[in-house]
Amino acid sequence: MDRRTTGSSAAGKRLRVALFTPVAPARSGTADYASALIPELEKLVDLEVFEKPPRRPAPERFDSLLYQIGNNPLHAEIYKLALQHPGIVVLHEPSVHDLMRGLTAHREDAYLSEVLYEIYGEEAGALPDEDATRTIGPQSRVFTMIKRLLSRSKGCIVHSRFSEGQVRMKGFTGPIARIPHGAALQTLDGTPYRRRLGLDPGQPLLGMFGYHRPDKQVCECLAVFKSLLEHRPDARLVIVGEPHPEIPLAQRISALGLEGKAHLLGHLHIQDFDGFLAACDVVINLRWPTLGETSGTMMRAFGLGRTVVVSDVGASRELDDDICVRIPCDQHQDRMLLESLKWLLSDSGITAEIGRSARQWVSRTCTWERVAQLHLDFLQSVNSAAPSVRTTDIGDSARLRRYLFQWAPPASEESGYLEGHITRLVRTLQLVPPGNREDRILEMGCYLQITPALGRVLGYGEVRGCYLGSGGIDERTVKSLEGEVFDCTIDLFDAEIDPFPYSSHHFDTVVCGELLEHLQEDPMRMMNEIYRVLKPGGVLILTTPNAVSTRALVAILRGSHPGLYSRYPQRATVERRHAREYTPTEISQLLMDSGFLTIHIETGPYAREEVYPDWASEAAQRAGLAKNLRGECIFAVGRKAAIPRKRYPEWLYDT
Amino acid sequence: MNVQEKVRELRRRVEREVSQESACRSVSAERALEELEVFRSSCSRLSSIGDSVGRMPPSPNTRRARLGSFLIRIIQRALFWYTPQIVRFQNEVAHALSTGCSLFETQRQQIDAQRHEIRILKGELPRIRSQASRPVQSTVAGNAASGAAIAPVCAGCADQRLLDSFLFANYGRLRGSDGETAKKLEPYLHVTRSLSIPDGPWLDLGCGRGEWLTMAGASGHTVVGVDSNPSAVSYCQEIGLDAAEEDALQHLRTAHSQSVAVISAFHLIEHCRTVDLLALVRESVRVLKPGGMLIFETPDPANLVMASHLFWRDPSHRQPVPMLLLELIFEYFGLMVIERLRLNPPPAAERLPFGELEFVRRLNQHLYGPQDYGLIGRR
Repeated sequence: MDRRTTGSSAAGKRLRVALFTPVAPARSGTADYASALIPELEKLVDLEVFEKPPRRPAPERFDSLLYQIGNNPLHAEIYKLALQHPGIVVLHEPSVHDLMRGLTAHREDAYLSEVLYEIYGEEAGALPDEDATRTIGPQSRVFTMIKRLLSRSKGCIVHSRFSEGQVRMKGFTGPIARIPHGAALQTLDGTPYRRRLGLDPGQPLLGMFGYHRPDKQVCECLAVFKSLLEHRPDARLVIVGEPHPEIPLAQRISALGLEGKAHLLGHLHIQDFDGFLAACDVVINLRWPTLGETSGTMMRAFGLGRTVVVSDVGASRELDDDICVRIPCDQHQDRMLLESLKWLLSDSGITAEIGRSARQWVSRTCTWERVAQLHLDFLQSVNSAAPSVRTTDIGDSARLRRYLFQWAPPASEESGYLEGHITRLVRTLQLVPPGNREDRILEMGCYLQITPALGRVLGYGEVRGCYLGSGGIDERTVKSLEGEVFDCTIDLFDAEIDPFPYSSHHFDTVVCGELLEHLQEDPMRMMNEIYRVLKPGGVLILTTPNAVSTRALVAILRGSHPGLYSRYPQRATVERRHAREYTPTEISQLLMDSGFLTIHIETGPYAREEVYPDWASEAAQRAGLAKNLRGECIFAVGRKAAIPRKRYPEWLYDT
Repeated sequence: MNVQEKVRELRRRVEREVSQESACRSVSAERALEELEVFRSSCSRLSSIGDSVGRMPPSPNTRRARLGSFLIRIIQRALFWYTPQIVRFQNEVAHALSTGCSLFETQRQQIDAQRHEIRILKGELPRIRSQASRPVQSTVAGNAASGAAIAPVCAGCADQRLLDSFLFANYGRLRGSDGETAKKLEPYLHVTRSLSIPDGPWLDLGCGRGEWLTMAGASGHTVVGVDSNPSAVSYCQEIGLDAAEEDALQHLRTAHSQSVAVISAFHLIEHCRTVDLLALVRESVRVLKPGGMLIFETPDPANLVMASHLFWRDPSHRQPVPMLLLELIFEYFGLMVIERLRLNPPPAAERLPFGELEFVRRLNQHLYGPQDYGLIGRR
């Protein structure tokens, strides 16, 4: 494929695009998505659609290859093709775990090697402790298995900020586009469908649609519906879509005595599907846990002007406040669902107004026409050789870099430090999952360099800092060169001795940059406390110098000290000297021992990429040792998704 | 319309309702309920798994998977007699578990009802007890020539009971909350730690809400509390402390000689008459082991505000005991005074300004100096 020829595409020549996707009548959300997108996209580009990889692929015939990826087994061949011929992947959810699980079915070794790739990237084989990793079972929520696919992609399309964060956390540095999931504005009369169920005009109807996987909380919803009947005995429930083998819906309905009140319809043709959606007063579309998927059913319901109840999690959190009802996924979920339904059904004006807002939102942001246009824009920007790669705010390293320098007075000590660490800080920010108003983040060893960005760029509602000290807090206000003001409370305590002054399960994310190597006595103490204050599923971003970097290797062979920073401070300062530097494998082990699952490790420079003599990497290669993970700084991302294994791991402590 | 605002409002309501509901249950009952919930959900999971026994898992449309599922189907057919057995076994287990679940549920409800009943009965207990012991007490008082009871003697015991309840109910306002009181006792624990004291049980006279029992117990000592106020004793017993309803002096008189390591009485002696105070110290000395400690704390009348005003806030106070007098009594009965603690000064903000002037300093000392003192004697 010759990229330069597409330069003229803006001047009138249409882009030639190959779209690899399942299409209707395949029973898959991606197929429905494709059938809606294709007509609009065809108006803009020369489109060729492949349901199966062609016998003899000819990528040079196209300017862009677009792969729709999902977890349905239908995508297996498309996935393989995407690895062979890099193109742009559309991730409807930032995970292909279930697809990979199917592809590696009954071959534990193959699954394990995918897990290792997922954590360590290329050349993983020689690196980690096999025994330790062997204990990792299938973890669909943790190992999203998208790293391999992303490493072979030229760009990535996602639907939400949440998904973008997940993609970024895997170390993807290419262009990412946030294109909303499209929806069609339809006006459908639901009356005939209501009549089919034998409903009177005023009788409230609730609906649940789609493939009824356990994470859609179907059984919980049934129980809530039963309680709702005590208040609204005339309410009815319709369940449309394929049943899941592990959820015996018919039995549940009869066990709860809901026959005649809950109608189980099974899989329907898309027209009937839409018809029943239109007939419902309220559509229930819960998810817990979530991978970050955007529900196609939800978008259809929005287009039909329905009121949708969704879970306050993942991508749904980014929806406008007035277009749907978001309920929390905690111990109050069922109660909240019940109360919300009672409220919604109390007055038909409420659902009508919410539905109207939803339709307005669709027409404003995500009609298929607009979605197709956004696809085209992105394909063009990826193809253009110009550096102005169209990408999102967080993905743009140069912009982030400029933003960080805004907060350091020029020619000061701060800007000096920033100069020496800028690449690391930008990279750290890109690995932090974006947050919302309700989300809380803790930055340990807070220097107020990336702190404003955590709130302003990544969107966290509460940004808290902490620093070494002996109790108390430090209220800091900083001002950028452009006059932007940022306030932050910094708690002062000793992370390896004091208990953290926060309640358990308080933070969504903890950033611990360049702190671990300074701990003198008890690093696991800090890890345990981080584990405690993080919410279940929360993320820890850890950075620390790499003890086995190429720099260290070269230093040893040249006869100098391999440590990054091995001097003693002359006077007693707040800073403690480096007590111990770590290797990437040790960091992964440390995370695992303290109850985290490592989801990504990479290494990189602090500021400028240094050039080392070739013999260093050649020596490693000749000895059959890993060549990757040799950068100066380790970046590790761990998720609180396991339990702490050891208080004093034997590789780190002497008895 | 802001939907999320409405949702937040609903959430606040739900949280309030849930917290009210859970406040009605005691902690342990809530725990049992949680466990029951886990049990119940595992039951329902089990029964849902049962329906998938013998079914094919979803697999991708690859040659390998097709071959695999073909093989599985053959194996299934070969084991046709076995799958139904597994399903039956599974169903039986699920059935047994759900029976157990409902059994636990009924038992829990019964326990809840009984717990409720016990709580009501417990509330009745002190009243009944005081009624039962009334005639006995009065004969003892009649026989004892000195009238040794330390508690203020009232004509009618019903009135006494009323006073007891009043005092205990207002304990917090008279002496501060649990946490505050506990903090005030910290210095004593410090002294006992810094000295070697003989092994043996500790005794707290007038244990009140049991702060000292809790603190000393937490540092590994066996502590017994005695209080004449039945409400205080039942409170202590409720929270699992070892306390008995008895007159302090009576208790000491019946105790063995040289049997106790530390005797403490916080804010007790100001409730006693001088004769009783003398008897109290004499008996304490007899009961203490050699090297044992006697700890008394009482309001300090050297603080004029305390002596003239605050002391009388507590209607059961009889007379202030100056430190000089208490020291004299300790020495008279052969105790060596090893520590004088002056405690609980009012907040510094109340002090008069210009404290560096001599007369202001003295005024401050007399008006805003320490409000209590503690005296520790050693046998």
